[in-house]
Amino acid sequence: MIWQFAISFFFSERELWMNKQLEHLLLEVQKPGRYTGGELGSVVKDKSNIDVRFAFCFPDMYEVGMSHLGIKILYSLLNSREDIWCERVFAPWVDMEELMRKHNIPLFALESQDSIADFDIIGFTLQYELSFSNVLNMLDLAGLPIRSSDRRDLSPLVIAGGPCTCNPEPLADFIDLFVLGEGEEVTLELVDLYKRHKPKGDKQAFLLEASKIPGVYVPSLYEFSYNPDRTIKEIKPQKGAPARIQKRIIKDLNKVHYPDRFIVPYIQIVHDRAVQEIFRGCIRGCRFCQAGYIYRPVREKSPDVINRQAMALCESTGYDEISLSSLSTSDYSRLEELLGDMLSWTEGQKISLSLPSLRIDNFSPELLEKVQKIRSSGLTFAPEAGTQRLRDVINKNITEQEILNTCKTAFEGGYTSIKLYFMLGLPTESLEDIEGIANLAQKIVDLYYRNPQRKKGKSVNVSVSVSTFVPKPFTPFQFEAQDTLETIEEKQKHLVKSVTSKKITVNWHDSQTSFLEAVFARGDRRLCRVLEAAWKSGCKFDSWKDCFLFENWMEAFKECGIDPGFYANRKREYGEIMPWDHLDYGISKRFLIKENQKAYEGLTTPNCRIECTGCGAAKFREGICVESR
Amino acid sequence: MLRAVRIFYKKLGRLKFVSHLDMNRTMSRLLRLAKLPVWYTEGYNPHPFVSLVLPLSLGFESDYEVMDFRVTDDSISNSEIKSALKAVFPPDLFLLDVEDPVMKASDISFADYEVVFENPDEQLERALDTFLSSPSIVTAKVNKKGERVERNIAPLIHEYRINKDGGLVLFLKLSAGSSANLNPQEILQAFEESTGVKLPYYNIRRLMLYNNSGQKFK
Repeated sequence: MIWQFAISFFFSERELWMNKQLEHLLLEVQKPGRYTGGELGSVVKDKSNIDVRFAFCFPDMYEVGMSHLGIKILYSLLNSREDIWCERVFAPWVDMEELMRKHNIPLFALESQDSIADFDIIGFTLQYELSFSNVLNMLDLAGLPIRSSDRRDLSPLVIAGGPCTCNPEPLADFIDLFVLGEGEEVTLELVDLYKRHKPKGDKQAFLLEASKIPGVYVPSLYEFSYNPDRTIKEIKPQKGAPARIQKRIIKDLNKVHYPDRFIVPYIQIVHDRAVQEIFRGCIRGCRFCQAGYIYRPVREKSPDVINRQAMALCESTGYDEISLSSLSTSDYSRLEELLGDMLSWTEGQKISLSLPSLRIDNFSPELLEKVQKIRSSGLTFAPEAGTQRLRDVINKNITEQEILNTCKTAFEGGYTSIKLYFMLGLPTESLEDIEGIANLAQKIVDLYYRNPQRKKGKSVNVSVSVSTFVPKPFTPFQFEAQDTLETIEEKQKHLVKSVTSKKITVNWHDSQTSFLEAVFARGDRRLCRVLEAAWKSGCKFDSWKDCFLFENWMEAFKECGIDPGFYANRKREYGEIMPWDHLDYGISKRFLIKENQKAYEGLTTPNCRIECTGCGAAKFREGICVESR
Repeated sequence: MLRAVRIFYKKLGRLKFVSHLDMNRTMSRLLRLAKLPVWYTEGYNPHPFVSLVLPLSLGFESDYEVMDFRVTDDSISNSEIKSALKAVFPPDLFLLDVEDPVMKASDISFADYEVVFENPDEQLERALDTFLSSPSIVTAKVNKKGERVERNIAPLIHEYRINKDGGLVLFLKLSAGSSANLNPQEILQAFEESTGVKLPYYNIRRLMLYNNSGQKFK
């Protein structure tokens, strides 16, 4: 029974499948399939039997949000409870928003098409800083006051989780509470607490109780004071709220809920395939990478569990592609065994298995053989920096020889296209490091032409993508200054000048968005006013080139008397109080300082599997921290 | 042995917002879900071979959609295929029949459509009648080269009826298929452009497909 709650039982063919007004509008917008709901695997429940209606909001468009694994997990988990109905909400694209505002259609959930203002809980997932303006816009589209203090009633309660909650301060005035870390357990605890408080409806009483749940951060219970130099003086908890809030983690990934079905969209989404999570966390500790720290410790699922869950997903969705999900697939300790198990059934069922996030330094010949059975159009590597010196600074433990060896194997296997990812503006970067990017790409081109078996008449393409380094909380580079826009522009020009071969194409990401990302990643609650002002002036969908209004953002900073450079381009002292210092992700500040010092000395740090370097995550007493090495 | 299979189904409700290309992918997935021994295309990226015989515009419902595919095991009967598909089809996709193909997809020559207008005003019936009875209805399109191309669509309208019970319903029999095809939307746009009348909201549904001797497409 695939259609869990088939609506056709209740309504005859042509009746009421959709709000009539909405149906009319949908013919006027691009991709109406974004707004219809009713996809295979979507869950429709009888409202009258529901205690808590939960609107899971992804502050970006349907195709992006539907590709996100977290929403699939929590949707399935919440809907596994009979008393909860979780529905999906995405940011309507600008054409739809315009019509909705014109015709007074409030933001609705896809499953019921009911306005989310009437829901019990509205939960946002914060995946990137540039979606913050969409959070405000969605609250406003729902007809709700955007500020938490202006929403007096308990319902709808507005909560948020996801990686950006490791510094949620720029949203502190808008969100009632944040959930730190992994959501599977704490979300249900919150719903249960909410159920108990719903009859009384006292929001303040609820928030006070909620702040006692581990992993729950109620920003209104903390007072920030500032020094004359604008840095933070003190973060003071009020009304008995905990001084430090520790993130939640799932202890046993083999036992935690995982969906046995996904919603299968009709329209094509970004990642239109089954996704199987294999582990959380990362052993590597690249010093720029926030994900490498905030999801620690590494906890793996066993090959049996992965295999069984993956099979169930393919069976229930009809997908012909499944991808393994983790931060670094080839670091899974039993990858060969797992791939052997999975290929034994995927090949027969014509399911293609994809392995994103492979590292190039730990490919065994056996693994390579298995990977070659797997369809891949091109190879992508992320050396991140052009010279060994700088790769040591950022602790990206890949050598040039390893990159060249893998490319050589790839060329021998018939590949003609290699994509390389780099960052500009990393700490200690010099012009020599930038030239190193061009040199590395050139060496790969030369390598191709040294291969005697290369196909005649086929040319090689090495594509170099450069992004701008953004210092992030809970990384050893959280103290660093981001290069100014002018410096980044000069560096980009220098890179283009250094590339001499037509076989190399250079692309770069817009550095203005990286600048804004840097401001908000390490911002504090004084930025709430800026966010509101920018949103009021029309900023939304900031990660979409066509929508990004840099001038409006700069105007908003000016209007609020706030210098964005204070957050993005200023080097911070080790002793400075960071806006996220009261949040505990298991990574100690002492460790981050030590790592930062090592970076300047050009010293690398071994990965978690080789040796524990005492980051602090061992206090969770889970996963790799307690397993024998 | 490979065997060709033709299925007939209705595409209704919110599925009218699923485009032709997306329907293709959806159908492949449904065939996989039904675990039928479907023939896959050969090549770099094998996928179930499916062919929707006449594309349906985004926003149209249909009472008579036709799709072809092949099975690799000819011992499976049409009724077995029908029950396997019934079990996986979503509510807005209503399976009518599974048959051996009789005609070729290229035989399709005519299609019936029904346009239901919501809250029409009193004048609309007459205005439509006058417009549709004209011997020449010229529409213009801009082609890929950016040139304006005019065509007279009147000869492609083979029959029309306007019915007034329960709102205003326009029935159209139009040329369809690979040699000459007329989309009812083109007629309605031409109507709006030439008369200056803004049409009320309408829903279009394809009712039936025929070959060139007027037989139901089988």
